[in-house]
Amino acid sequence: MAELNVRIENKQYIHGTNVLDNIEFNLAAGEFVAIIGPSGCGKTTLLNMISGLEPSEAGSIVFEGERFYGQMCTQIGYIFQQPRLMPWLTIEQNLLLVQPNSRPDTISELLASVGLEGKQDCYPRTLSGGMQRRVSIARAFLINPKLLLLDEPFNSLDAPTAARLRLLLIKFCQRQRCSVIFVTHDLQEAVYLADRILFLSQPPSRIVHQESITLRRPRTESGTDELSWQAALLAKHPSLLAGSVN
Amino acid sequence: MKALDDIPKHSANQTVINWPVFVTRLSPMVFLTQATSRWLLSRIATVLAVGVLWQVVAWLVASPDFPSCTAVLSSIHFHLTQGDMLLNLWATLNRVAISFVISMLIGVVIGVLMGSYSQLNKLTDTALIIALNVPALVTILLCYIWFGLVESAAIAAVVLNKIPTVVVMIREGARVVDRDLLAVAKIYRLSPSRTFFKVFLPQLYPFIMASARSGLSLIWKIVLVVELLGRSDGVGFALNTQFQFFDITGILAYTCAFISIILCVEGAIFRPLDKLIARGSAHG
Repeated sequence: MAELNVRIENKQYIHGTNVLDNIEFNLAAGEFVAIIGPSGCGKTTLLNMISGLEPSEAGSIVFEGERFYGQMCTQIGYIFQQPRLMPWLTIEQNLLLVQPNSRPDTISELLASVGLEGKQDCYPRTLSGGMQRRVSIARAFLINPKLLLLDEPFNSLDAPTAARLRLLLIKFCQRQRCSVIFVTHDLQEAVYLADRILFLSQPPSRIVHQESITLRRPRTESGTDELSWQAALLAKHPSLLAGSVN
Repeated sequence: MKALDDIPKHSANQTVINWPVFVTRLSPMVFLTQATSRWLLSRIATVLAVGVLWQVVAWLVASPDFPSCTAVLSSIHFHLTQGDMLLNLWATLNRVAISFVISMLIGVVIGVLMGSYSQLNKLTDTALIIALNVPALVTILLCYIWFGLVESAAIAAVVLNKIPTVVVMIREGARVVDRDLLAVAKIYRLSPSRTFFKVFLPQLYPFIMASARSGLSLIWKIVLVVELLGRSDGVGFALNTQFQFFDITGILAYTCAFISIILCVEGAIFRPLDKLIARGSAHG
């Protein structure tokens, strides 16, 4: 049985724009799915609906056989485009906010695993953008999520930092075996991380194609196999990424 | 006590104190950080500068209608030792404290509700504008007429005058609360109380502080009017008495005494709170 089943008949913004149209996909337990689409096609809206931040008026979102409205009934991790840490709380307090029962050594170990040992008492503003992203990744994994949603989390980071964070993400996902939905506009990143890619069209967005990535892990970001796979995909479907990938 | 023991002693009868060393070592003993000492020194310097300027202007004007700083200080001493100044200051301070706490509590609750629920805001906005523009004197007179010349009427008059200004400030704060941070609270399934106290309220602290500061200055002025019109103690009552005798020195003595108390409140309560709230922010 699929772990997550998403079926959205349509989604309109308040001003009447129809942004999502007949989106339906399944996510198997432990599967890593990337969603690629052009800017403004409703990728973030889709994640917000899955997470319960935005209502889904027409359709259903079923997780482990349980349908939910508004608030996800299970443990869900969400890594946003911005780290969204509480500036008035220290790093440790930010982590304890989402999991108050965590023991101090658990927090220390988690911070050490994201390369932030000894930063418990720092405030977010004293950390770099990359460090703040690492804290937000640690926060998401602290709750042992069954489902992890990521909304272009490595945007606007320099290439080496983004590469390190992708490795970190793979390490955590393999350790905790959670299902992942990863929104990106970067095909190379999607090929590196995901098991399957869903391609969205211009709004009103539909899933125009989905492709399973059969490459073996571990992968390399600019490896020959990965680049050949991308080239083959684009040769087969030349119009697939029009306006969606640089 | 090691710090004091280190002060060199030349003989049993004669102690020569190295003052800079003494002050540096004494500061931590009275819990003054370097920043606080600097702030305190700057405040004292300002007060001294104003005092000197006042003295010079009074000397140049040389009029009984413009008493000198030293005359006012003498009057404060006189009223403290032989008058009722302490009792009057205490009575006013009590009223200010009670009114302040009540108006802040009610104002914050209403402000948060109005800022969070747009429908409620639409319904009550007109009432708020009216409340903001009712003259303080009218509220005071009405309270005294309706409830009599009693303490509760005095407090109610001050509270009713202050609440609308608190509400306006807190409402604006609640309107600009970062919804992205509230989304984090929702995603990680924080309880409503945890969301309110750990995510929502901290974003309002700057607005609450601004409202508290402006509130204190407004409240004590209104309290004086309330006391002047219908109480038999307090600074307002004392000022009225001084006015009957055209005792300008006495009026200024009471004013200076109360301003000194407010400065102490600022230093002892608001400043530490400011530092606490600013933690983690760019200016913290």
